[in-house]
Amino acid sequence: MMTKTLELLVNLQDLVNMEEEIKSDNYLTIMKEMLNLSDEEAEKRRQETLKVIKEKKRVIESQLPSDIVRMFKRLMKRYGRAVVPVVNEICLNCSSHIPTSYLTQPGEVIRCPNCGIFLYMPLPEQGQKK
Amino acid sequence: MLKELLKKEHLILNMKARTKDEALEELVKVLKFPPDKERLLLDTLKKRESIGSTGIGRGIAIPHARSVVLDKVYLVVGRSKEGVDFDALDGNPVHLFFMLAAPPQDPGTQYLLALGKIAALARKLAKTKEYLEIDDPDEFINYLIKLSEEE
Repeated sequence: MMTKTLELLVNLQDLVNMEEEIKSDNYLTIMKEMLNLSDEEAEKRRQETLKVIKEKKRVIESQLPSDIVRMFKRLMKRYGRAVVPVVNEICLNCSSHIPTSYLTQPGEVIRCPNCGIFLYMPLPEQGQKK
Repeated sequence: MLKELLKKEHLILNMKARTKDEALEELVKVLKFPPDKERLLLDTLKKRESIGSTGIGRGIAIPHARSVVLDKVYLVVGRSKEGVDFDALDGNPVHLFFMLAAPPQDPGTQYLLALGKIAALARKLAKTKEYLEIDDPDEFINYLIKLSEEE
């Protein structure tokens, strides 16, 4: 079961990833081709988009407890990411073994006992073993 | 590159959606994710749209995003003969969707490469409306592959 806090953290992480992507020159080149933009137009669009993302991040952060936001920022600084999924009982940040029983403990968020990153446990997809 | 991502089971030839939200929902549903994963991917795609429409004009849209909830790159292609009001840059309805979604970690940069290939393919598709006439899924996929490989 995904808690509200974890859902907000996943949203925040996706926005941070979006921001990094939009900042990259490779992405800018693709957007220029896709939208047939001049260098100047593409850069203007990029700056406007980054402003909107910043505001969206601020809104999500305002809905999270301040200690969680602080931890998110600390993890981003340290690992370049703050939320990762657990796949096959492995933390995708540090590769530590995370037993499923550990993930079912009560609490709004669960962090890796080794690296401290926020953990997200995807439900099995159709056709996959539980 | 696109050949590996284009799958018959991830193709909708007759989309029912009429609005942007309905279109994104219909495209994401094809992936048959569990509800929380589906909702989170949808949230991210909607957020991406809210910062600028991916309806690039001439009837084509390329909704795309990276999400923590994904473990690999997914491409879903959707066609709507009637067209969808997708807030495209030229204001025209969208008839063809390429929805690309990927995890944040993508060491082979498959996602960006695919996005570039789709952008190039979209330019070719924009010159023709042939894709509106093909009703066989295999033929449709082969048409896209052939067009994407043409110089």
